[in-house]
Amino acid sequence: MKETDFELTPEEQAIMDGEQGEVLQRVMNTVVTYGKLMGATRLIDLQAAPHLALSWSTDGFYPFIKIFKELADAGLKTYAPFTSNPKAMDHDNLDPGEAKRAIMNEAHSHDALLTGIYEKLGMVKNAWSCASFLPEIGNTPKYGEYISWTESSAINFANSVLGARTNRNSMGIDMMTAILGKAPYFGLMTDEGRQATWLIDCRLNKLPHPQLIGAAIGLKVVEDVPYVIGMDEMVNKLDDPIGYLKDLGTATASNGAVGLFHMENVTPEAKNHGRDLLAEGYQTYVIDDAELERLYNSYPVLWPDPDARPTRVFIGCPHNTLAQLKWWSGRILKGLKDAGQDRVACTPYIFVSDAVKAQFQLESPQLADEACDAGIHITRNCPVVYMQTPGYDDEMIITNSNKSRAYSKARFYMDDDLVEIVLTGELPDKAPAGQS
Amino acid sequence: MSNFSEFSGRAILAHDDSGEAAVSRAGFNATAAFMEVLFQGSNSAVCQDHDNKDLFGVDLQGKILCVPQTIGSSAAATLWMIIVERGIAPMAVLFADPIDSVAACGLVLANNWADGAPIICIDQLGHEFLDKVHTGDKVDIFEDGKIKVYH
Repeated sequence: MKETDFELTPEEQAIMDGEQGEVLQRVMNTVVTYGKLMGATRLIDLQAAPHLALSWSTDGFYPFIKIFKELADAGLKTYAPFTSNPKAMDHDNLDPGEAKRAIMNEAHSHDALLTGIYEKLGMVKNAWSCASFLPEIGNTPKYGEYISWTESSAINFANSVLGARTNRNSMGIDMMTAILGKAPYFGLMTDEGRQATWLIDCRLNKLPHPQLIGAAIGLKVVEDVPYVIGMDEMVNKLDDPIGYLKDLGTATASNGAVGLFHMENVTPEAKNHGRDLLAEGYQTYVIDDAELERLYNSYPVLWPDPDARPTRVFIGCPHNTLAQLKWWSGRILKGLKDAGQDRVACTPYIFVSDAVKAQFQLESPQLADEACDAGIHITRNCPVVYMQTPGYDDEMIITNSNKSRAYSKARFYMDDDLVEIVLTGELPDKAPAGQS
Repeated sequence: MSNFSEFSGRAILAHDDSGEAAVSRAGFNATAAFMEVLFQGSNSAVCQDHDNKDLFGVDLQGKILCVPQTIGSSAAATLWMIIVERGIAPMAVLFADPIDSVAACGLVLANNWADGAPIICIDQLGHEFLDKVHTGDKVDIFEDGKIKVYH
């Protein structure tokens, strides 16, 4: 590998030389190697708290659990208390049945080990959520602060909506930078790396599903930075623009590799700098209603029987905001009332952190009770991991998340269709062309 | 004599070797491709990413994976680790573009912390490389970052 010159402070050099132990030396060496590969020339001190992606504990993740154990056994701790992604299991609120519970417990056989290691390394108690940046958990970096996060949706939100600065790191490196309190300075941490190389010109008649337009953007720009125009009037009118932007960004990251998007008159850097954020020679992508319909109709159906009855409806990946939880509960309850029904026909599961659920019960106890009585479940589970458990192939799941669709056999539906499925237990008569 | 095309990139980790190409014209989603390895204990490197029209269903073990870059979840690093440890990794990953940060994390970790044969990695081979190479082509890799694609 052709190495760039990499400057270390005396303190960093001492770690690199092993003066603080072999384990920390190896961590520093790994982080610096990563930085050199990406063209960084120095490390930068991290500011707001870490967020990590690893919360699952199958054998597939054991290599990392083993590394993290080595760090904990060496007495190392992260520079600030950290949050992590949601766990795979919430049997009380998303019960797969006795046999599958046993399969799930066996598959995630390292769960207690991972939880214990995280406690030693400095995790905030029970802060398991992919949306830990929401105020109910409060791992919310400020504008301009440097962080070194994983979880593609959280990275995208922190960069785009909060204006914090992190690269798209992956598991393992997140913990190592959190141990050091330092990360390589390159890419989305720099002003240059935050310039947009794509102008996304939206010519739409109505506000699109955030995870459909996000997917369209992600597929086109892949890992580049897009600057979105033509959506500000619609987005700024929303009661919960945060939820909308979270979901849009998630789909850009999971269907592409977008770590940062700017939206004119909406996101903070676009408000501050406007179209000065566009890099010289940027490309343009026009998105209209037909483009989105074409994409929606292209999604393959992976169910063995395309006409099978859905078994569950999953709402939210990543975890919902408090406003989204209230909206979905109210929307489904209204549908039931209009249809003269007491209970749902196909059980919906709304995914949120424990903290958001607690706040919902505190702020809206009547709505929470009515939702529960109608058969709406609220769970902290990770939906993608649930669907990836061995032996769960017989579950025919509907979702409003294009991220979940990309990582499972779940079918992605628009909100009105999804409510119809919840109420009737049947697929809508008019399925999208690619899904018929 | 076979026709061949030559390309030169940045050797991140390379030695002389040769093998069979598996080509993705779109960004390669490692998480979606190897999801069953992570969660279902699978020991198969058959690509499970249903959105990848080029490689869905193709066994990537021991192949020379040719991609523009990787996309998708930041969980991907663990995949590179586990497929190396289980001995089912591609022999090499050849990137047309500069390596992306998620893949870089994964390959640095896999090649420094995992117990198993490291994955050859060359980036910045250029888009003409992806235009010329096809799944099934024989590819020679050299330690200085040069490659030959036989047609």
